[in-house]
Formats: sequence, structure tokens, C-alpha cells
Amino acid sequence: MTTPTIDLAAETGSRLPETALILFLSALALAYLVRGALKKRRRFQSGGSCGDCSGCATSGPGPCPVATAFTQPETESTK
Amino acid sequence: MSRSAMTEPHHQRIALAGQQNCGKSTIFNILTGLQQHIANYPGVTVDKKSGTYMWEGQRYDVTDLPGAYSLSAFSPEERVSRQVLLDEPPDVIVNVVDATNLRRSLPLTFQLLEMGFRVIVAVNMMDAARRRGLAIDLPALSRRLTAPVVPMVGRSGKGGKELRGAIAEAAQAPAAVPATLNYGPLEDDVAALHARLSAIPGLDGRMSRWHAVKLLENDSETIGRVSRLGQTDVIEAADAMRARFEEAHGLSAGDHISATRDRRATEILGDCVQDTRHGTVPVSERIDRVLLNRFVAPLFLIATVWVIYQLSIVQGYELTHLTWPFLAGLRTVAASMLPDAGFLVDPQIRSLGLWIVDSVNTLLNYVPIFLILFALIAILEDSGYMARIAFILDRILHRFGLHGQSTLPFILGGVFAGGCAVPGVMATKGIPDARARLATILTVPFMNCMAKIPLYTLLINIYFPDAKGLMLFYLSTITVLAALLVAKLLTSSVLATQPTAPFVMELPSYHMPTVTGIARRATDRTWMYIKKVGTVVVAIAVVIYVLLQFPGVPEDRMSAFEARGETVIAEFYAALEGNPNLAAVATPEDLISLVNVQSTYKARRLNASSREAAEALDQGIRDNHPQFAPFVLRGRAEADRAAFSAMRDLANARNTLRREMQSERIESSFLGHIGRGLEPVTQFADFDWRINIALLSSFAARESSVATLGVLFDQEEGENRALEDRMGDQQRAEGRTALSAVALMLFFALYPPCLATVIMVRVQTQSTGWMVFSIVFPTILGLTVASVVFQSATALGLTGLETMTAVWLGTFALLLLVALPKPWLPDLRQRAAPEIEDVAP
Repeated sequence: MTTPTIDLAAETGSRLPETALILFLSALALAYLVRGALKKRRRFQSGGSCGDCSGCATSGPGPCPVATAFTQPETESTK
Repeated sequence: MSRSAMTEPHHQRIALAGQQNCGKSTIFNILTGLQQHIANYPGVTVDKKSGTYMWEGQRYDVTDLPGAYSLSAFSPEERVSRQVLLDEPPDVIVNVVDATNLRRSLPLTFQLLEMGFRVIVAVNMMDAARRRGLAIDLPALSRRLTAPVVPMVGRSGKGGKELRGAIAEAAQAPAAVPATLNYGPLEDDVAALHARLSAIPGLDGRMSRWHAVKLLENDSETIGRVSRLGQTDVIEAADAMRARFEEAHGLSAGDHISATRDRRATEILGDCVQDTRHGTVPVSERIDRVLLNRFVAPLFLIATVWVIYQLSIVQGYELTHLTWPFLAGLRTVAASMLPDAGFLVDPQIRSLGLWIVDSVNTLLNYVPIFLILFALIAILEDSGYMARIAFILDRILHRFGLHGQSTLPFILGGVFAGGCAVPGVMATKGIPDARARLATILTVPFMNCMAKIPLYTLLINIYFPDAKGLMLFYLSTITVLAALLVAKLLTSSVLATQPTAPFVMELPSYHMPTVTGIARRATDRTWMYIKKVGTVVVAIAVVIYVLLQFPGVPEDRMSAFEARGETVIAEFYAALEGNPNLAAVATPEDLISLVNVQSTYKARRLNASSREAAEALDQGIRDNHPQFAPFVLRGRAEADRAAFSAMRDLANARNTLRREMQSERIESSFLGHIGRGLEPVTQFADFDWRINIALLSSFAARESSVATLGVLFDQEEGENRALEDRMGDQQRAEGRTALSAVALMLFFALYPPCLATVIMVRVQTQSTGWMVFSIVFPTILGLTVASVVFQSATALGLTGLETMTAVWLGTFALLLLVALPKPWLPDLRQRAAPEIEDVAP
């Protein structure tokens, strides 16, 4: 019986469509991350929360509830 | 409030004023029905909330002014509130006051009345006042303040209708007459200045008396306003009056004015509020007498930190033994759904799919830890003890140039593990002391944010299985010690010239947390973590995958691997020469099928929870792939034993080849080159290229450090081991010890903020320079500390735990040295930063 051979050259060779797909997916992922960073920047600038930090309990707009729900020590300049 | 709104006469402009936490936002929501728009006041990062409502055919535009105790030009909130009132005067002001703390609220009310606005006093939290035994005579209060008073319970919406009615009535009323508060010995000076200011064109005559008082308070913004009108003689007159008063009474005019308002508030409350429980000590105060005792407080705090770590990370990790098989099962399912593996190289889709699953699994494995941790933190928050922690830390912070209000950002950032630097940095906007504010912004990222925990847990479980609680205690406290030392360094050097401000703190009452409240908060936050893993971490994993897989193994090296692969296959067939089982692998496709069946079986067998489950798997092979059974299952017949042995050799050789190829691919990748390029710098801290890559990837999101390690310390096709086991084995094989882990954890503790925090630093400081500083400084500091610690401990022959103990004790000793008073040294900071008089009250 002849020894069967796996075409390893074909397996390890470049597979253009697959590579293109992976690059497309990574471009999408990168765009998602950049968009997220830009959105965050806009929200922060308008006093909003980030919405996805794991220590944070909200994804809603507006002032960060973690910061505002807490009884904040205050300054009393009149004292 | 927009200018366009001001030009439309049929829109009534309403402003809500009051101190923070008096329920102003709730009243705003009651009035506007939650229809709010949030923006920023120009030039500052103070929230601007505005909204509208209709009442009896009339439109009302409502602006929620920032919370402020007074109208001094002191904090950004106070400055903004005052600017809005002066430049865009509303038709009616609703002054929201806290019924349980009227004495603190009334000084602002007096100032609003002195400015000559139509003021409605909304006395909020009447229910809480009633519970505390405070009986408020509202008609008497209204008479004394000469303003309508509306009782409210904001939480339940009570009083909303009455407030709207009172606003409508006030809006139609004639202009208010400015109230006059008698300032005693300063009264003649106030009257004289009032007369001079009334004659100045361009200054609202209605507010002349209030401006006069402000000039005597030495208020910088009023001085600037009058100065811009060319009235320097009035300012000089006010200066002379102030100096005369201060010489005569030995008290600053500003202090006298504040004290007058306070006395007046006390006097009115004496007439209008009756404390029916006078003489009884509230429960909260009794608890505080113990928990805030100067000796008990630090001990109880340390014990609390210890218990939190024991329960969450140490006990929580035990639960991961139950969840890991489930996650491993998910990987097996994902592997079976993806295209089959190749002999040497897998299809990219399969590699990417498993890459993502491995990244996600590594982080989801810590979900039990986070559930417990978030629940414990929610208990601390809801019970009121978290605010006490701020109080305890406040005593310490001042010694390091920080402001008392820095405690809140530190706690939000994760004094214990469980915070996030983004809200921490955001919360610094309430700090009026510019120096402390910047120092806090730059040191909050040192805290133990939630995303640092996976790496700590990973390394501690690999290298310190018998001292988990102690190591986490060291790590969590050493970050606070480091933050304090860095704050001291910054406030004594680059921030020395920033202005400072005083601080007063209020403590909320203790509350019994509810089970549903705790459970909801813990699950909400854990879900947020899972969502982040499923979105941001996956996206980062995809990008990292490409950066680590391309451009790939060089062609000549790939040819060498192919040749070795062909040899391995030839040896396999040679070993089966004459074996009856050879027919099962007669074609290349059969061989690939066998390889995949064997690796899938191996993965499932490793995760089989019982002997029965393992036997069921064996039976599955016999039933579904009878031709491959001799290769996969150990048999008794001679031919079967030979087939099994040949298959084992083939699988081992294949795994070795694949591991070498993967290693070479990653090392020659884009990111691999960067990781290798950094090694000359990071080698002193014992970071190899893989650690460098993990640390780089964590800049986008800290959790990614572990996710990246999860794929860098990859597993064989058919393996399903936890990262702790894989990484531990590989690291130990490379000769790394617990000392390397200590260096890495110390670096990670001091590591620059993640991308989101960096953006927040830019927003809060309004400075690209400080943003860059927030990245560069911790990097240099972290790397220096990690390198010095690793090299010194190696030279001294210390173990990991000994090193960490020594580092902790050394940092603590340094802290004491810095914190303890040194009367023999000149106060360099005071010389560098003279008191800025124009912001002092």
C-alpha cells in the first residue's frame, strides 16, 4: 500500500479570500473600538458617563451615577 | 438657559438652585417630567441640565443650576451658578433646601433674596425630617424668609403640583424687593458702598447691595466686575473699609459676613423648627462613636478590606472550579462548529474563532469573583460605611497634599478592588482645590480598578496559592500608599503653584441594605463586565489576533515545518505497516478526520466530570467512529496497541510542530516585533515579549491583558486547561518564579490608565500635556519600581512573598516618614505656593 500524503504545502500556503475576510473583520473591530473611543470622548465632554466601565452600574446618559448617587463630601466656602 | 429663550417673552425662565444632594435633580425631573437635556456650561466641565414644561398654557424653561452652598467664586459650580444668575437672570428661582439640614441651606437662600430675585423655597425631604422628629412650622418659615415655602417629598413626587402653582404665581407677581440682612458693625460700610454702586451705570441696581457685601467679602469676581466698569475708587474704598473692620475686630470681613448669615439661619430655625427628639443620640451617631474612633477606625477598615478579599477573591475563586467546565464545554462546542483543524495549520476562521473563545473564557472565568465582590461593595455603599471610609481617609489625605474631597474619586477608582478610574477621575470635578484636583486625577488610576483584578487573580493563583488573601491585601493597600506618595511628590513639585481650598464633609446616616438592592447592583455591574468582555474585549482580541498572526512564518521556515510534518506522517504510516487498522486511514482525508476525532475526544475526556461520563465518551467513539477506536482508545489486541501507540506519537509530534510554528508566527508578527523590541528595557523587570504584548493590549482595556495572555499561552488542539495551569507550567519551565509575578503585579498596579481614563483625564484637565503626563509618568514609575524590586530581590535571594512583604513595609515606612510632622524642616511648599487671597472666603 502506498503511503498517503497530506498536501501540507496547500494547507500552509496563503489563502487569499480567508485572509481578506480576517482583515475585514479586524478592520471592523478596529472601527468599533475607534467609534467607541470617540463616543466616549463626546459623552465625557458633555458630562456623561462612559457606560461600559466594569465598576460602573449604568449605561445611561447623564452624569455618572456612581459619582452622583454617592453622598459626596462638599465644600462649604462660607465657613 | 439659552439666549434665544431669553428673547421670547412668553417663556418663563426658572432656575433651580440649591446645594448638592438636596434633591434638586429630583425636583427638576418632577417639574420637567424627565425631559432633560444635558450639556456643559461653556468653558467648564459642570453639568448643565435644562428642560421645559407647560402649566396652564404657559411654557416654563427650567435650568438646573450646579449644586452650590453659596455664591462665592470658589468652586466651578459656584462660579457657574453665579454667572448664570448675573448674566441671564431667571424670572423665578426655586431654591431647593434639605428639610433635614436647613441650617446649611439657608445662607444660600439669603443670598438669592439679597440679589432681589423672586424666590420660592422648596423644602424637600419632608418625610426624612419627620422621621428624624423635626417639626417645621412652614408658615412661620415663609414669613421669616419673606418667600413662599412649598413642602415636598421629591422621591415620591409629593408637592410637584403645589410647586408649579407657586412658580406660576411668582412669575406673575411684581418684581421682588431685595432682602436686607443686617451685618451689624459692617452695616454702615455696606450702606455706603451700596449707595456708590447704585449710581454706577452698567451694574444692575437691584443687586447693588449684594455687590457691596461681596466687595467687603473680598470676592474676586465682584472686584473684577466693578473694576471692568472703571470704578477702581469703589474697590479702594471697599479695601479700606475691610482693612479697618479687620483691624478693629480681629476677624476677616468675609468670616464676619458668613457668620452673620449662619447666625441668622440659626435664629430662624430656632423659631420655626422644633426637634421633638432633642437629647436622644441617633443610632448612626452611636455607631460612629465606635467605628470612627481614632484607634478603632483604621483597624476596622483594614479588617473590612481583608474580609472583602477573603470572601470575594479567595472564596470566589473556588467557585470558578465549578464554572470552568461549563466554559470549557462552550469551547468544545465552538470548536465543533468551526471548520475542522488542519494537520499543521488551521483555517483562519477556526483560529480566530477559538482565539475569541479563549479570550472571552479567560475573563468570564472570574464572573463568580466579581458577583461576590460587587455585592460586598454594594453593601458598603448602601450601609453608609463607604462614606465613613472617605472620612477616615480624609484625615490621612491632607498630609499628602490632597483634598478631603479626593476620597470620593479614590473610592470610585477602587480603593478596594471594584472601582473604575473613569468615574473616579470624573468625580474630581467637584474638588475646588486645583492642586489637589490635579493630583487626584493623576493618582486615581493607581487604584485597583475592576479590570486589574483578573491579572492579579491569575498571578496570585499561579504563584501564591497559599497566601491569596495576604497578597491581595498587600496589592490593594500598596496602591493607596503609592498614590499618596505620588500625590505628595506631585503637590510638592509640578503642582506646587496650584491654588488650594478648604473642605467640609457630611456623613449620611447608616442604612440597612436590602437583599434585592444588593442583588440588583451586583448583577447589574457583573452584567456590565460580561457585556464589556463580549464587545470591547472581543474587538480588541480580533485586532490583536491580526497583529499577532501576520505577516506569518517566513516561507523558508514554513518549508522546513512542512518537511518535518511529512516525515512525521511517513513515520506514522511506517509504524502501521502490516497493521489491519491501516485501512481506516487509507486516504489523507481519513487521516485528518482521525486527528480531529482524537483531539476532540481528548478535550472532552479531560473535562469529563465522572467515570461514567468518561465511559460514555469511549462508547461514543466505538459507536460513531468504530474504525478509529483502536487509534483513540487503548486496546488489548497487539494491532490495536500498535495503532494507539502510533497515533499517540503522531499527535505528540504534531502538537510540537504546531506549537513551534505558532510561537514562530507570533514572534515574527507585527506585535511580536514590538514585544521583542521592548525586551531590552523590560528585561530588568523580567518581562518577556509576551508579557510586553499583554501589557500593550491592556491599554485599550485592562481586562485584555489576561485575555491576551490566554491566547499567548495557548493550548494544544484538544486541550481545555485553565490559563492558570497553562501559563503556570510554561512560565515555570522558563525558570520564572513568584518574584517575576511580584514585579509584574507592581508594574500593573502603577501602570498608566486605560484609554477611556486617558480620555477622561484630557476632558477633566482640558490639557493634552497633563494627559500625556498621565501616561508617561506612571510608565516610568512602574517600570522603575518593578525593575528595582526584581533586581534587588534576586540579588538578596528573596522569595516572592518575602519580596512583597518587604516592598509593602518599605512603602509604609516611607509613607510614615513623609507623613509625620518634620518641624525641623522649612515648609518648602508654602514658600513655593503663597496663599492665593482672591479665592479665600
